[in-house]
Amino acid sequence: MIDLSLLEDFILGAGESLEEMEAALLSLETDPENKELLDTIFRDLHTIKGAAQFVGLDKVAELSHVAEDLLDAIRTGEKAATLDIITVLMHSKDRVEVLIEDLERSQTEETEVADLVEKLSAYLNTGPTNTDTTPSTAEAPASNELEEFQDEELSFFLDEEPRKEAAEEEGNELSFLSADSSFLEAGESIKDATDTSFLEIDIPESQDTDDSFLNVEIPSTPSIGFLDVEGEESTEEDSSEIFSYLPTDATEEQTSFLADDSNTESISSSSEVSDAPEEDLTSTLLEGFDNLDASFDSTASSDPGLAIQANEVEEDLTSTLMEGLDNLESSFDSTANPETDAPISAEPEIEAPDLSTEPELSSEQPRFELPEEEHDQELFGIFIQQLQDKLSLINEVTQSLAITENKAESLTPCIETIKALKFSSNYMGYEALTNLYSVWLSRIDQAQSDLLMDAECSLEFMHTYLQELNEIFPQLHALSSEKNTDEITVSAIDNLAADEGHLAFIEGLIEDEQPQDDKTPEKIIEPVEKPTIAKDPAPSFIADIEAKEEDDEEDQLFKRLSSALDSSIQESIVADPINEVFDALLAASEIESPAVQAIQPLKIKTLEQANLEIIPEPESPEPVAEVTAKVETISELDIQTLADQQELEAAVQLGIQDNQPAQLPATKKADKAKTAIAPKKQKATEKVFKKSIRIDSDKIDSLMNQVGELIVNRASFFQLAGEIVTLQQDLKESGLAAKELKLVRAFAYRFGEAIISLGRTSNELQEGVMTVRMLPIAQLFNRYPRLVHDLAHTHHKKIELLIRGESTELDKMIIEELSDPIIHMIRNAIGHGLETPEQRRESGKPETGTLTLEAYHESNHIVIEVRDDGRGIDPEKIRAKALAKGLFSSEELARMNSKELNRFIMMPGFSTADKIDSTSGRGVGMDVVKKNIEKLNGSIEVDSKLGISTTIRLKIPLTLAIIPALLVRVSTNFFTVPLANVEETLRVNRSNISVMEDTEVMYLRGKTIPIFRLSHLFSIPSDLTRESLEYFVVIVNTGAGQVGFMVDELLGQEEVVIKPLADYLQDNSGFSGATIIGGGRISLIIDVNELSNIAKNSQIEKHQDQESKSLASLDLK
Amino acid sequence: MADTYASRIADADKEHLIQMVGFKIGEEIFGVDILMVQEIIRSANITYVPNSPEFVEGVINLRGSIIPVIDLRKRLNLETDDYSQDRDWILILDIAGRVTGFIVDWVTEVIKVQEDHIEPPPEILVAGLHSQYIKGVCEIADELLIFLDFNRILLIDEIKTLSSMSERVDPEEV
Repeated sequence: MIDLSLLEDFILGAGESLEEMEAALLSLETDPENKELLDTIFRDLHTIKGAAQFVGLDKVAELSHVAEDLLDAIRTGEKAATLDIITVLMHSKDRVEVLIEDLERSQTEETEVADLVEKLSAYLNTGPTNTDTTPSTAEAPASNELEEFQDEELSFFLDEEPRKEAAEEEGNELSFLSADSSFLEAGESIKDATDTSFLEIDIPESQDTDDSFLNVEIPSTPSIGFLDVEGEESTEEDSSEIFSYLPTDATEEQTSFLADDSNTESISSSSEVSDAPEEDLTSTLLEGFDNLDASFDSTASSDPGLAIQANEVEEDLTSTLMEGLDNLESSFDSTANPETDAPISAEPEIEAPDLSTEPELSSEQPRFELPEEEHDQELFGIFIQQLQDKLSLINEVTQSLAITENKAESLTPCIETIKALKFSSNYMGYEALTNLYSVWLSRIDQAQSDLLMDAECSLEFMHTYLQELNEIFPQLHALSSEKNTDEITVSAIDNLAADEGHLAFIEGLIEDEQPQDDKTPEKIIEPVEKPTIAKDPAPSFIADIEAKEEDDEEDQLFKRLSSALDSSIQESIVADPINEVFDALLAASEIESPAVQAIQPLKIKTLEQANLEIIPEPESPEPVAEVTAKVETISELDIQTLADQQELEAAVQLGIQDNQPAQLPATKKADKAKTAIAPKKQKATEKVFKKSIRIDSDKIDSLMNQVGELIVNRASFFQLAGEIVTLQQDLKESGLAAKELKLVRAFAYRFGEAIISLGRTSNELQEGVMTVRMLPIAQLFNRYPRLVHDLAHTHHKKIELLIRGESTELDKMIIEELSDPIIHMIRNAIGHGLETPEQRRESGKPETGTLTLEAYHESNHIVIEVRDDGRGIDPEKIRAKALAKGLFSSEELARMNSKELNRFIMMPGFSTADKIDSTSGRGVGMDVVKKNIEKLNGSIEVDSKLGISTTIRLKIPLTLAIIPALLVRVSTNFFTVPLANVEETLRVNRSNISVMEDTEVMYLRGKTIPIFRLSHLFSIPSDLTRESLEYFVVIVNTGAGQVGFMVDELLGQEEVVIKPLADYLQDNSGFSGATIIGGGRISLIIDVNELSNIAKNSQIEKHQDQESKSLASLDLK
Repeated sequence: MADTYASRIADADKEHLIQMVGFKIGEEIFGVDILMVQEIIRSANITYVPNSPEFVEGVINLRGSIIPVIDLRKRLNLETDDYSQDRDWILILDIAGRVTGFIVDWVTEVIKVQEDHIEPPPEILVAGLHSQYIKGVCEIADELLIFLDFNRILLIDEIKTLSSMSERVDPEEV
């Protein structure tokens, strides 16, 4: 099944990859050892394969997969990149292209790939070292698929990032996410559990409070239940603990801290806080820090339990947890099992990304001001639609789960659906969502296996996930309709905060479950710490995906929030000690118990350091105020304002001073660790923001049309301005009073000014729209290396292709029109121009011929040159041919210079080639080129030096839709001559015009130029009479030399919008279109080439006519 | 209830009405399917297009679009000697996406004709008009209404274009 909406994107994306791949393959031929090229090709193949698998294109995926394997073998040095292999790869690339063409046409892969797959496999299997990569290449192992796929998709999005790192990162993100989402869920279920099972504890508080409060309160609650201690006491400790460890998340924690205080009201310090939270914060904090010391002492005793836990985590989480859970109330039993394993496995992996991103966040804050990546509305709409559909599908299944017997089987369609969802969200770049799906999938997977083994298993989580998705969904939907409104982002953040609350809660639960026998209240410290760490990856994870995930507003804002907080507290701190603390702490908690003891002072030291450095620069940066304000609204809690935060900093500092000195070396060590990781991260964030958007070209065309109309209107305004001046003159002459005349003059002046400013704006607008349509000619030139390569092979010639000026920009329409002509010219150059290596050697040239494609601007034109250093065009051959064809007499031909002679090669059927081959020689090519170029109002020039070089120069106007033109009048008819064709305009005396063979001619700088009266050509009346002494003549350049057109009046130059005429009016009429000039009048645009041809033909006919007439009259006599 | 409704539908089907815009050239009444008619304008400023087929009167600027205008009288080779004064009606027709103006003597009214009343064109010439341009004829108030086939009219002119172009290339009036 192929998803049509995605197919289009795939075709585009694959096209780009194929282009790059082709270029790389071509260069690989000359440089087979180049690792970079191999990597490029590999990456492109990989991208195509990944995308193809995603879209469901089996053949493309298969072919690219095998090709990729072969390339991998080359890359690892097992195979040499021989010419054969490159050729096969090239063919594979072509085949993929064919397949994509199939897809464009019929949405199916029609062309077979088996032969190439076989060939590639053959190459892979034969050769000096046959490796174990082979078996895996034959067919993509299904088991690896998922893993591979993720891997590849990520590299698809990360683009340049090394794959290994990408995979690693995804792993981290994944685990983080899994942790996040499962916490959420577990949080909910446990909340229920606490409600029912631990009624003896003062629970209501935890429910009254907000999400952030849950963060602190809930983790402690279960422990309280088990450990039989005073809940309030431990809560207080928890919060202060968190606070001291986590200045990064100060506001967040502070919030919970305060909320805690104000709600519980049972702690000694809390009364102070709630009475005057702003004033007495300092003392509260101090108290918190005092408690801290005590807690640390007791933490040590609980360490063995932690160590055990860490080990268990590594080894067999599920079973251990099951055991631990057995001790819990029965309600826990079923829900917690599937949920707990994910978060725990996630933990060890969290540290790495977490650390390195933190400093970046604070230092790279300005980044947020950059424009956000464009958001494909259409695709998004499809995505949302799909999400909706699939969710309802899953919902159905989930509903039915409750009643079906065979639960495991009925889950299967769910897996399929979620997989599809995951692919699409991955495609869209919503990694958070993707990861959510991943976790979900693994969860279902486990549930399924559990069910098969008749294990006790609840499928409650299905509902939870659905609920979660439904919560996310409206936000996404809202985002799609109106981007970036505050309400949405705020609610998004809110949601995230809630997630964290759950997350923290669950984390706490997990920790608590393990050492149930250990009934020291201090035990709680660790669990509470954990959540804060687990939470930390959020920003880093976001930083990771930030570049790609532009529309995930909640992440965005959260990142901004955390980084701002970060900087508010750690501003001016070069290192980021806090993170090291977490790192060390986490590591310690995993490895050995003594380490925890070591961390304890270290933590304090780093905090101290942080604050010491804050002191010299106490002022917080601007954004902090803003973000803090946001946090306030978001959390819906009584959060302190910026002022409070600064107080808080002071408090932290004070608190620290009470603490013991720390171990410096440890900090340094952590420092090192951090710097080692940092550069790795840098790469991801450095990723260039993509600023381009894709727009339907029709839209641009219609915009262009409207701008054209505007230009026309402007022209009529100018005309009006002129009329007003005349009017003013008339009024003056009619004897209007000076006073009234003054008014008129003032008005005329203001009117003129207004028009000038209108003109300026519309000019800019026109230019702007025109640049939108402009594309670098590289788009065109990049198509030719392959052509040259193939032609060089068939002709057994050595050719080097030089491309210059590929960044020259040109109207997209023109680029398309130029493609074929340039192909013809290249074929000519290679077929006729360039000699074989032997011939070249004989004539003393280097064996390798050079073919140059060059583009450059020349005033309002773009010039494209195709130049070869081959044998050139022999004027004698042309003369002979022209004579043989009876085109001209030998005398005439002798008089012609080479430029004039070269024009003959553009005549149909005129070929100087001795033999016709597959490439060229039929004499059609240059004729086609000429036709095409003239269609573009362009001109073509052939310049050749015999034995040295041939240059074909195409001169093309920059754009087609609007052209500068000369307006002329013949009687009441207005005509427009494209300025591109106008050589000069003359006022000619009658005496300067003579008649030669019934054709009027004039001599201009030694040249004889035929003059045609437009009135005659068009059979229209003219103002000119036989008595007229002066004529206006427009000298134009045509393909066949200069021609003069006689008109009644020259009206001036104007920008005109070309509008097409009905075909039966345009063909062979001498007009290339029409335009609307001032006053809504229509002026026909003269096609000078066609018109001069018509004129010449009519002259010839007339001539023959007269001859026959005179013959007839002779006969009569 | 349902029966009457169904029968009404059947009745409507049977007497399927075609709405036509009626117009006159000389004494003849012609009709064109109303769905083809984009608009009817009067006194447009027609710009002559040199070297165009004889029946092409020129082009007009219809709100920014340049539309060819064909003199239907010339196109149909109807007698052209009695040029009446009020020949300034232009029917703007959309003929398979090609918007074209046709000059007629005057536009009369919208005529409703039952489809089964339209008869195929007779073999003989009707009002000096070749039957190839006629879709059908029908009698209205003792007069013959000629239902024109504009697709055909525009198609043939393409063929004609070529021949007339080659004829006209040679300007005799030098």
